[in-house]
Amino acid sequence: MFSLNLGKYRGILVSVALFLILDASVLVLNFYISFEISDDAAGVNLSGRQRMLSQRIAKSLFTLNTVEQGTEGFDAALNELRMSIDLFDETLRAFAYGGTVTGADGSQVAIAVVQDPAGSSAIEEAQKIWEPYKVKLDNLFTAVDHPFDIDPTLSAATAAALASNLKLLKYMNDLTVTLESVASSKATELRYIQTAGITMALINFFFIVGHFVRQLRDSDLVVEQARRETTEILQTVNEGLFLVDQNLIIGNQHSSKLNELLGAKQVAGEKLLSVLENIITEKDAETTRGFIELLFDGRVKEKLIGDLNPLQNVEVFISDDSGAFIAKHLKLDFARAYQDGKISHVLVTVLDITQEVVLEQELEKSRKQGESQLEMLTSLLHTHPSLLRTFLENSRRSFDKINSTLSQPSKTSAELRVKSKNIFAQIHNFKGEAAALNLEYFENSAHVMEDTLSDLVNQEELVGNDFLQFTVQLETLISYAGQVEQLANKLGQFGVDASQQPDDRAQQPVANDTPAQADDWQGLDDIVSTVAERHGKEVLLVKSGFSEIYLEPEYKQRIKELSIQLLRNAVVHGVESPIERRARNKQNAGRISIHLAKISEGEMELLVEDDGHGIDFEELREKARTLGRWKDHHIDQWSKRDIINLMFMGGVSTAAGLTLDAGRGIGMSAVKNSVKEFGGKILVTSKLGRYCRFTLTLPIISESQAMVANG
Amino acid sequence: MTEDVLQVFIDGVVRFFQHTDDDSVKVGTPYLSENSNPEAFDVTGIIGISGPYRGCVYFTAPKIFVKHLLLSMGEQDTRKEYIADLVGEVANTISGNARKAFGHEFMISVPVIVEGAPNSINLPKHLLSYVIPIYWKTYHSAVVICLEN
Repeated sequence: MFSLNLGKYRGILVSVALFLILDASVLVLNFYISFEISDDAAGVNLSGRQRMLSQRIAKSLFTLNTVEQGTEGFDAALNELRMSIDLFDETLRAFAYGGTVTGADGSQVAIAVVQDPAGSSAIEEAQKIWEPYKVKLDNLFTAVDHPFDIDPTLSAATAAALASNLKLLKYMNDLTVTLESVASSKATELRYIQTAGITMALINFFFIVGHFVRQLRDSDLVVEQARRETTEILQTVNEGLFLVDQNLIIGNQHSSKLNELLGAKQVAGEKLLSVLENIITEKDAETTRGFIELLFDGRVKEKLIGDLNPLQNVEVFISDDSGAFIAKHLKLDFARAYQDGKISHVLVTVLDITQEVVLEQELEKSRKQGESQLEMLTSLLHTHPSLLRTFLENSRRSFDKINSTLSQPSKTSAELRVKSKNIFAQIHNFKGEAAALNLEYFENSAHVMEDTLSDLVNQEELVGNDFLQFTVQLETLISYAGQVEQLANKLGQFGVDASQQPDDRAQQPVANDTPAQADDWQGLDDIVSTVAERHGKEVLLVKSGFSEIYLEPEYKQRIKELSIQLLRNAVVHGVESPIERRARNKQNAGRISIHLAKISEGEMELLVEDDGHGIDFEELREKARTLGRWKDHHIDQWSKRDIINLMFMGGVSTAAGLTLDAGRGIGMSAVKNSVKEFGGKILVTSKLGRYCRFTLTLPIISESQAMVANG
Repeated sequence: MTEDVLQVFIDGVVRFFQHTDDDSVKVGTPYLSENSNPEAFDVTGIIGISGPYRGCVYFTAPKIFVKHLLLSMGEQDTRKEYIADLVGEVANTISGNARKAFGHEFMISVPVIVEGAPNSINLPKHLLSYVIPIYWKTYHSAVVICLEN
């Protein structure tokens, strides 16, 4: 990384290096010159001392002239003279040829040869004077040391002092001044160097500052522009965009849409899996973790693992404060993000694919619906559309009634038993009507529901929850009926509806009846032939009087249910099989007549008669015995009337086994309850082997208000 | 919808009442209700379901029912928030039971408490809801299930 970025930082590095080199050079020069200045200062000091020494030598000579030899003062002056001469001589030679001398503090000081021409000439001149002067002085010491008479040598030395002293002083003074001026010029030179060095350093500094501030400002501008563009993109983009690192932590920047898509307020810096916690299943979360780990593994080909992404269609359920849940379908795409050739992050794109998914689902739904409707259509084709419509209307009414019975609060087992019996009667009627139109699906469903209810009735202890299965069956049936209705409506739109077609029967003038009303009773033929066929019997139905009395539609429906029940009873229990009939010298086809007639202003009679084997009272008595509900001696005492009552009691059937049409013993009980509800009467007449006739006396209800009053 | 799925939600409510050490809770006969006129009492706790079945399940009860329930659980405070909390708790128990029974295939949202009936968004008009009456002491409440698959 460093080597790559050196290009960008080369300028600053060179500048800083230059700055340092410059500083170091100035420092080195500074050291060098200041050492030289320090050496020069020592020279100046020593040359100054030479001046002092020349005078001290003269002073000592004069002292020796004034004090007597052998005294303390003489010796002191002599010693001072000796020391001063040695020091002067040593220093002068050092100035001339270089060497070390004793400094003021007694230490040895190195002296370089004086290079300056004025200085060296002063030294040369001084040496010329000093050499003879020193010979005179040395003679004085020789006389003192032997001892000779010192007077002549002292006088000669004093004379030499008088002659040389001032000259010597002058040369030494010249030397001092020369050395001082050399030192001074070096100090000036040093100042120049320092000033130049500092100036260059300053120029360098300003260059660095100027150059780099401009560079920084330029790059800041670029960064700022890039940031602004990124922000604009992130705020505008319609997808959720963010990066996750290897620890599955979401980066600090993400698109604004992301919060809305995930329904999360805080996303930046959070762990990806905790943000998705309430959205995806634990299993998917685990797979996602593995998938992202694979993406970070550079050895794995990205394209090959694309299918492993578990979040290609996630159904998200976002609830708001009002209690509404919004279902969204999200697609999370993962892609590697590289930096310097290495996988640095995984870029996650969250797309809202709700519309696509919903469309797809709707397509699939309508495809399935189309299939099931086609199936339904084939099963409905044999049914007259207007009859089907009436059936559906009636069904809806029946379902409402059943549902309303279900919803009645009942807590005890006994209450629930009553409820199940009531519902049974209702579903049984529905089944009758479905059978009348030969609508097998409805008939079979109702039969299965009857099974469920029978189990409930026979259960010892009943609780509300036991009805769950039945309610589910009811819902399925209602939903199927809804689909059939939709289909019927569609057929109506295509003009298949019979109400738009002329119908021969309907064209006949009928008092107080509409064509549609007359149609309604056609279903009775269908049910009789269906039930007869199912039981291997041949039956001829003779029907009369139905178009002569106008009845309120709902009431008419109830009367129809009664008729169906009685007809079904007649086919199953009344008419014998063709073999039996032949044995009894009867025609193969049994004859059943159903007749509706007005008997007074407010009353009518519904008569159903079959030419079958009539009521076998003894068989019913035996049946009662097998049920074990009554004591045998009571059963023996039952009159025919008692036995007929037994027929209308729930749970007693003479049918040999359970079939779609008979065997539960609920049908006749339902007839009795309905007649009772309408305030009517039932008369049963029968002759064994000949016939059985049910005559129901019922009110004529033609207004809906009257229905309410009576119902 | 199958009975087994419905039973899970019913069991959830029953389980909640079992925790209250009061076994007088009774389940009524389930019936159907049209979503255009949803069954609801004063307070309703709703959970959203997605997965193999989608829709919502809610527990709804009259305020007085919840107040009595609160008192019977030893809670003296029967303010609005407490009522909402308890209904939420029932919804939570239903949801917990469902999670346990269905596993991770189903996604169940956190409960939302509303007054009266749930928002119509949650109850598609073309569907029927299952209403399972829940009787406790003299009170009536219900768990309503509206799911489609």
